[in-house]
Amino acid sequence: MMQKMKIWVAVIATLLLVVTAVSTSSAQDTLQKIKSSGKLDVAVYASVKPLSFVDPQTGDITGFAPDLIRLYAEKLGVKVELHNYDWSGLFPALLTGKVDVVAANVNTTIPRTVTLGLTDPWLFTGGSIAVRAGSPYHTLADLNKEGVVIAAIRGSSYIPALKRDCPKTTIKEYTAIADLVQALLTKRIEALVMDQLAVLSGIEGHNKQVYVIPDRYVPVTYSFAVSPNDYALQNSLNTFFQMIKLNGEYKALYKKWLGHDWNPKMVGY
Amino acid sequence: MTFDWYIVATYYPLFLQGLAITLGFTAISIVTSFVLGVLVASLISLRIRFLHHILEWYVAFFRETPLLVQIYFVFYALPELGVTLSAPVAGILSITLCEGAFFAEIVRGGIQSLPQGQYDAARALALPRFRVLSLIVIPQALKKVIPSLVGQSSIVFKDTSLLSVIAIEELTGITQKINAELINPMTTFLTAGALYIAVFWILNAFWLLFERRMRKEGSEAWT
Amino acid sequence: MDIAVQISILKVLFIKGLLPMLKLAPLSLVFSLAIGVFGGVIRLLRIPILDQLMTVYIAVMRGLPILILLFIAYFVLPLGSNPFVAATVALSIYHGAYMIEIFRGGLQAVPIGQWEAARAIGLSFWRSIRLVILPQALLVVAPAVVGQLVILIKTTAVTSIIGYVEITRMGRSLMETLLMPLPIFGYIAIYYFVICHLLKIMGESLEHASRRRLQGRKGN
Repeated sequence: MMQKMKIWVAVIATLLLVVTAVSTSSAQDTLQKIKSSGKLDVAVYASVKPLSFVDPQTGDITGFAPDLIRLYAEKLGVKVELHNYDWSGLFPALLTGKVDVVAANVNTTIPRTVTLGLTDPWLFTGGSIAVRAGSPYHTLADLNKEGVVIAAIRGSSYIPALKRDCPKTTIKEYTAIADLVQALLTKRIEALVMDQLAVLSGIEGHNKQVYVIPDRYVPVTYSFAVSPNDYALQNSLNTFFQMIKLNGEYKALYKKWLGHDWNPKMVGY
Repeated sequence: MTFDWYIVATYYPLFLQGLAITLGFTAISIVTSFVLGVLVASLISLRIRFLHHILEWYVAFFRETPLLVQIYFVFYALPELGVTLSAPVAGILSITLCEGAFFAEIVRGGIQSLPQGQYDAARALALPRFRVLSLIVIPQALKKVIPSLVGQSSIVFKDTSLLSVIAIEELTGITQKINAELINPMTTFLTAGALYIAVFWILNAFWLLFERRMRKEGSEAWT
Repeated sequence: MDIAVQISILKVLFIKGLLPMLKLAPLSLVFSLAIGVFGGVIRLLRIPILDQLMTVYIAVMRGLPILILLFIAYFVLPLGSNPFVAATVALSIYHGAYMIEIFRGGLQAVPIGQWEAARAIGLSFWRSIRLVILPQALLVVAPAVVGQLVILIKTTAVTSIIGYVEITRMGRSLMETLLMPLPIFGYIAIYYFVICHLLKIMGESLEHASRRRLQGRKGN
């Protein structure tokens, strides 16, 4: 009996030791690692047409953000590997070193710069509020009522904004754009708040059932994100964005994916 | 990245809250799945034309497709057919449909293993088929398959972790949320994992006691 | 409903979904079988310490939801950024635990006389397992292994959550772009069902075959 107990204690102690001893470290500079390994690991959120989505014809990830990061990798001279995560998986993947860059529509916010290395913005847009056609609510103020349910993507910057602007409203958080649209169409919620482009693509095919409130809610810009201490990579991406905005490559991609000309004046350059 | 006991000490109320929600979903789903399973198995054993074929296909289909796909289907695709359910209802419905099929298969096995004499004796008493089923066949069949039913119930407990994909904040969902905030997967996921394992085995011990008691009662009643 | 769109969905789900799944499942099956054989032998012989380790390992795997195990494999273990690796590891060790129990049962079913005979003709321990015991045990465990394979294939769907692009993940992405959840998830369910049902039929015929074989041997 004693013998058996001893074996058990030894086994469990060893297991606990193994668990606490497994830890990962990354000392090497990320940009150098990318260059020397020849591979850039990128997290994308392929759920927003035309920013980033899966092409239904081929099953490949495509869109504005993937094109930008592919162009960057091409200029850096490395291969690029895209990993498609749910929104909630993007930053855990980045901060645990699974990927080098999050090339997605990451809202540029100052609090986010505490935990993430945000690049210069690569797109200027804003949030849109959509309600069902024929809904009695036409402004954000209308929606600020007890019993009204508004939803936004979990972790998006609209959640705190809504909590501030609509304190009486119930605010629900969903993980996917399709959930939000379905919830609106099926009357689970009264209104949804998403990035303007996401709203426009999300309601495609449901135009008659949905009304988009024309005012832009919370102007937003999108950045890419790197780990907070990857200054070299962050600088490199910033230089890249500046360069392509000046040499016309950004303008071409903008036109390709958004369908209209880029107007730098619009963003107050 | 290391295991951070401070996180466990600070966030344990959230983990426990998630665990409570997990247990709630488990309890409800076990009851609904069990009821559905017994119902389906009984109807199959009645051999009503067409109906038993449909039910056999139901059992096969839900046992041989992933629960995750069933959850997505109930939550995303049913609204297209005009059936819109809240996330908790959709979650319980998907688990019930899936586990109900497993329970049905288990109960059906129990019914098939009963000696034909039981039926004949009951029929000789001129009891209607349905009463034979509900009074004699089902209770005996259930007693025979208690261990399998208990094992399947433990699987329901683990199944509920998939409800996190439709934004239900049970233990797995809330762990993901905590991890998104703290980015310490080692601490958050190992804590959640330890909780699942501990509760799984505590539940198992309870079920074992229950099973033993049932068997004791059963042997008194049937010998 | 546009037929061309439906066909293209089916095609994309097959090429970019089903094929990656069919890459993951057999590989995980092979590893879990290896775990099953070694663990089964350890459990059968009750090798001290290793046997206790197996008990803990099996208890942990039985109590852990596969989703949490996948998160641990991907985010905690240093397995790199490719979710395929983490998915293979997680599925292998998860189903490996069940395979151990299956193989222990199978090895126990081999009559003790077979062991004695193998040792008597001078085979070493591992050679007697490999050449004499395992082939007989395999016959016994084959139906249970096929049953476990069906469960394994169903759990591959969960690897979509750590970002492995298989059929369920591809379906979700297509749903985000096309907003047609009904046909997309319907097709996915049918794909899984066809594969699992074929395997189940195969498992049943294996069971008949192995039962006949075993009964035949007893008759001798």
